[in-house]
Amino acid sequence: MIEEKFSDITVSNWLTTHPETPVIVTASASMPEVAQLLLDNNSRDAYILDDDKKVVGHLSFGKTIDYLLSEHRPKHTHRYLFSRITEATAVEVMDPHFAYARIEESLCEVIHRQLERGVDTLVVLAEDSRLLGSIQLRELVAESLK
Amino acid sequence: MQHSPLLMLGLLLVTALLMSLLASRFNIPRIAAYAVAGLLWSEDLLGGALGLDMTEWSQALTQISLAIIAYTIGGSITIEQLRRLGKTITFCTVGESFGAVLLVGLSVYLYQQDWVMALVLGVLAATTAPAATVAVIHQYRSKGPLTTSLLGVVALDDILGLVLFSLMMVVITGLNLGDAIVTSGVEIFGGIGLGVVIGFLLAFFGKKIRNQSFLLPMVLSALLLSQGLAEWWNVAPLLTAITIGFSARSVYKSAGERLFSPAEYLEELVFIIFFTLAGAHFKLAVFLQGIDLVIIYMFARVIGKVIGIRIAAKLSKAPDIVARYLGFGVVPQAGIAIGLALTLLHRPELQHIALLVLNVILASTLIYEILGPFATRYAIVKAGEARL
Repeated sequence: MIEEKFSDITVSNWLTTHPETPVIVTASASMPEVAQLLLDNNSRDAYILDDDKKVVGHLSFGKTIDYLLSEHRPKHTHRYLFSRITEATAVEVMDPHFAYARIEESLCEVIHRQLERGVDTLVVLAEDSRLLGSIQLRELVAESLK
Repeated sequence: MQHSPLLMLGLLLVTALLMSLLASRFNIPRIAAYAVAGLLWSEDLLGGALGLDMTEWSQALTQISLAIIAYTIGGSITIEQLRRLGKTITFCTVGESFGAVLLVGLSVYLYQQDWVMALVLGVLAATTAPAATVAVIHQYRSKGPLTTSLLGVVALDDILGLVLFSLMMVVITGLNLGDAIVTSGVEIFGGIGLGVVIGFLLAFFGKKIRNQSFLLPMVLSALLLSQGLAEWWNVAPLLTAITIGFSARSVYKSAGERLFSPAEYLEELVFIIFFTLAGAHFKLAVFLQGIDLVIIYMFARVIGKVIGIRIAAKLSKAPDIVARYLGFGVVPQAGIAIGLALTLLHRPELQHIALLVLNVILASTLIYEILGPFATRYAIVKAGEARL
């Protein structure tokens, strides 16, 4: 029954009944700003928008605090040291290779992707990478249990 | 007796891992354990008794290992980050690197009257060891202007050291004076050009590949191909690898997690290879012959770095504590210097000094590894940045 329901629902339908906006930051946002936004919104995923309002990358809460608390970690790779001392911005730490969904996809496909990539909030993008909304994993799970 | 290279490599690595387990119980630096493991298989000990020869087969291994390190270091910084590093870190890095290069070079030349030896040891003096420095900073929860400058300098001087070494190799192995400029130009700019092309392709495919397990094979394949092409076209291989890292990171943007994390994961294995191979090339007779060079190298390097930083700090108007103590924080030296020294063994034009240089670097590295953390501790404590 759950399978049937999920296979019927498309991302487009889901967004109309569950409008969600992910945590959005600008490319030049500092890492403390990103962390604060994630904490304020109780979210584990932030997405970076460029000047054309296109989503260009993803920052997980883990990666954000890994950077912020770097002085408490004895990591010594050169890449880590430079990002630590140059006070990296969101665009310099983000992962430009992130998971997203398209509106025509089914929720079955989406939930698999979210679980595989460990993303709580998955963005839904248009063909030109503009943000259309987001899907919360916890809401998908709640729906699947109904 | 002919022994399989795989058997010898296996013996080296297994001994190194066992020795490092033992060393960790007694709080001995693990790189000393790796070197001792190699030493056990050296010509003076088991290697001689069993007729093992590491030199013949280790060239490719050393070259690709060094290429991995050069690639990760090249990709560790972007132009924007370089710009943001600030005057103090940039000036102090140049000051301490060139201070060490000049003073070691000059001291060795005055002592040995051999400009090739002076140039090689001088350039090898530039690099430091971030791992030891970061460990001390972490241990004492150090924070402040000196700590920030120290972290920047120990990371940046390895880039400078690798570039200087590449350029030095081009100069030393250049043909006669007439061709030297053309040949050197081709080697340097050919290496950079090859690195840019492969780096661009690496970033392009790095974005396309979905399966993360393909990333490490992709990076290693690119590095192997680059080293092969560099050898074939006679361009500087190390410069090629650094440029691949730098251009791939610039094109890929962001932290380059996908392109560099897999290679960084190999760092420890690379350093085990470097130290065990260096240990295996240790020769007591050569070491005793060069013991005076070890002393000259060690003192000249530290004094050169301290003086270089003082001058650079004054020029960049750095805080007084940076000028006074930063030089003591950059004493540790480890894997990169060893890796660079190992490559000398396979250059025919440097055969007369290669083994001596390797033994000098190995001995000084082990001493620095023991004394270096104390010097770093001294610097951060005197600067009032350590939490005791």
